Amino acid sequence: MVLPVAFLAVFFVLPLTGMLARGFYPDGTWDFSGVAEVLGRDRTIRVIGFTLGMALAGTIITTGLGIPLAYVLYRLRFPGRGLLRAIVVMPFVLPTVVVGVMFRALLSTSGPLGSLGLDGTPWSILLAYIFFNLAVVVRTVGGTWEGLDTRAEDSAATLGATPWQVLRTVTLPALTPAIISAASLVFLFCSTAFGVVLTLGGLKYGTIETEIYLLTTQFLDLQAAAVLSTLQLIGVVLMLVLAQRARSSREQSLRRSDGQTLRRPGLVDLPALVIAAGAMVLILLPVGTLVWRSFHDGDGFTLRAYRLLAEPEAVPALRVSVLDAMENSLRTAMDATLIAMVLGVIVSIAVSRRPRRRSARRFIASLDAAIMLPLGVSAVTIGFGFLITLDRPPLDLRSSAILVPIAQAMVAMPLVVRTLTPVLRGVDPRLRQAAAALGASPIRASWTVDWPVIAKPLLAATGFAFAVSLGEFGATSFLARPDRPTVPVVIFDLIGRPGVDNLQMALAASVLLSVVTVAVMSLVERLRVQGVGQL
Amino acid sequence: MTQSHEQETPMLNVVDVQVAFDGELAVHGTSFQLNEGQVLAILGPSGCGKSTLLRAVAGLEPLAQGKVSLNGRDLAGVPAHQRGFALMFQDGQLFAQRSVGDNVGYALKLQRLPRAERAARVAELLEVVGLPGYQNRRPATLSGGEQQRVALARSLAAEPRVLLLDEPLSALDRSLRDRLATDLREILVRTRTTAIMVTHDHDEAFTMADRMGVMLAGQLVQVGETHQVWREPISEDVAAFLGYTSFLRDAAARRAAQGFEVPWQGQTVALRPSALVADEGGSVTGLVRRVSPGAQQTRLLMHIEGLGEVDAIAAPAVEFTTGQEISLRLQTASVAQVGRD
Repeated sequence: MVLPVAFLAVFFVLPLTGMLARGFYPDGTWDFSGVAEVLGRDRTIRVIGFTLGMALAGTIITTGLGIPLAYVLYRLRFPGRGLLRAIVVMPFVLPTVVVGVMFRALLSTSGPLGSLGLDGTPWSILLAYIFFNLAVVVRTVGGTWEGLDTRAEDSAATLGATPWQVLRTVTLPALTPAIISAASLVFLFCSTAFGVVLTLGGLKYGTIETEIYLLTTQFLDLQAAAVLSTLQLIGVVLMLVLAQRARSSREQSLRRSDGQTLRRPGLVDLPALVIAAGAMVLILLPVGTLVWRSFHDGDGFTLRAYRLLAEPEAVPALRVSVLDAMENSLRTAMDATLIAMVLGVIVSIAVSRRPRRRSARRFIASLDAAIMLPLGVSAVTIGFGFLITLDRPPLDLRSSAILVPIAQAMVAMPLVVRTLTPVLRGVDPRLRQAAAALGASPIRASWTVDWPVIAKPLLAATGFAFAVSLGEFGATSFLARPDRPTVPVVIFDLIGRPGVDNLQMALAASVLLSVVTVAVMSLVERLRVQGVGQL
Repeated sequence: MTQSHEQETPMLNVVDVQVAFDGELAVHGTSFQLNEGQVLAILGPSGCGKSTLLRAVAGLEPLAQGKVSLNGRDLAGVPAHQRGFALMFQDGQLFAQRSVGDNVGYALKLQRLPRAERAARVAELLEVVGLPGYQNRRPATLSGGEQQRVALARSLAAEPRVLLLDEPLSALDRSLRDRLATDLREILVRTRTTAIMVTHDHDEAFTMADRMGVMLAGQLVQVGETHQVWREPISEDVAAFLGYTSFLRDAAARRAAQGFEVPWQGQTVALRPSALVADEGGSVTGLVRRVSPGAQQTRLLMHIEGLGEVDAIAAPAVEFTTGQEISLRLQTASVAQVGRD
């Protein structure tokens, strides 16, 4: 218990407060005079408006596409459904920078959709938002939908309701908590997106997150950065509270069906199938373009870009080859996974218990909520906060290589907790009591009762944490040392440089990183654990 | 109720229906008919395919073969919501997000009945099921029995041509079940509702149905008037499912038929435990082999000369010892003649 709390305190609260102190407490006195000034700036207003508008549009479209897709993938029976489900999850674990690169490759003037002229416009960011977040809607809503008792729908149908009326009056009301939960998370992810916006929007279109980045690294205006960070934090906490509300009401009302809920598609499913097919195209087109273009330069098929990945001198400005960066990425992600798993398991066990004391229950509830915070707080704030607070004794870690895995673990831990907690909560405590009554010690009882249930989810969470750590960009971009970059950092660096070779290498590196990530995630998917990626 | 059904044309005609899941037959070729105003109970152990048959009739499962027709019209291709067969489930399946009144009025709203008429009809139906004034309650605040009553009201509101009941009382406890079965029967008769009920409880079927079908392993093995099926099960499997425990053949069967004064043409004679009751003035004597005391009655395993080992019952709290010779009274109502397999 102490361990995760201390970890959160040192590596989350400390950098966050350090960063905020730089902004509001610059010379040993509180100074809020800048708040109104920063918020009154035209640029700030524009950035906030852009962030919210884009997030709202992204959320509405993603939810609108995701619900029919969830229906098709979790309610209909057809060959290849398992594969399609796996494909839909893929974008969510793809590194944000890779997603950016994909849409550049798709929409740039030489790309397949170049004629649409969307490159460098907010549309490209919006498309990337949808691409990235469809998985959240499909997994969350689909998971609930799959478990929904179909007999309520059958009752309505035999009472004379048309399929559309059944959907409107029975199914959607039952799904509403899941939809709200998914939509609020999508909104959260859209409004704090960093890598995607930075790669697609450049300096022209900024969200609060990229603005914090620019203010911190380019303009050194820490006060304005602190104001925006605080604003974002408040917004994120609000969203998390909303999502939590929706989630708890969902857990209460969850009426699992035991029967077969899948059925063969019929004519009434045509609209849903058409929308789902469109959504699948949106997912597959950028991926396909990325792969195709990584093998083709202007002249035809080539493996040149891949050969360059092993070449340390391919980009003189980079001190290592992409393959070295890959090795570094894997090591870092492994460390991060280890940290995230150890802490995540402790937290999951703690928050899944129901202590008798009210104060203890309250503490657990707040820990449960706090653990989700790093997911939504600006990774830039955390990354930069690390740099300015962990740079002096007793914690001088700035030059230590451990900072990167710690920051990545911070991002992965909420996902671990979200995967394990529902499983642990689902174990009937009377089973442990039965084991104890038969003479098992508490540890032995837990081994007998919990372990068989938790083994697969534990593996799944490990894989998920690894995939997420591998692709983390926001905080890593601050913390990775120039001689030991991770692949996402290298990719971002490459696309910022002119030249065909650099772009090709960025594409090839993106393919490589995606292959590793998707391989890990398909193993996770094989485990068939309910609720991985269902936040 | 007791007019000669045979002369009416059946309202619902189910002919040779098969339902398959992943190529495996859950319901084999099954046929039955139902006249207007009748209640048919389909009785069978869990997993025998009876709920699937009901869903197929409702149009919720595709038929692999056969047809369902209503008043002579084939229902193939008619989707569930246009059949007018309201289906009511074991646990009610009330819409949790709606009030009791909105649940009951659901079908009426779909029919675009004006608000005032709807409210009046809902009130009337809640009255019928014995829950007046429950309009604004939430389903979650009701007891299991109340939920089933609301579910029944909701189904009746649709004025279904045939009401389909899937284990309507199974989720309730024993005493409530008995009471509600009687109420349900009374409501169905009063509203002249044609209904098919699926259940695994033969008492329930006996209370509620005019006709009874027994379904075993995906096959409807016997359909007929409830009393007739009860007294003349066509096979030992059916008899065993209906609660007959002792089966006597050949010479033993003949002796039993004589004793119980029933006609006999060589069939197996099946006895429920209540066919033989320990009674000092009884006409038959036997040896007590085993005693199982119970709260309502004591079960005895008897050995009777010429019959072999048969079950019997005795009043509770009477002491018996193994090997003791006692007298037994015969009850003809608990005897059935089983058709040859």
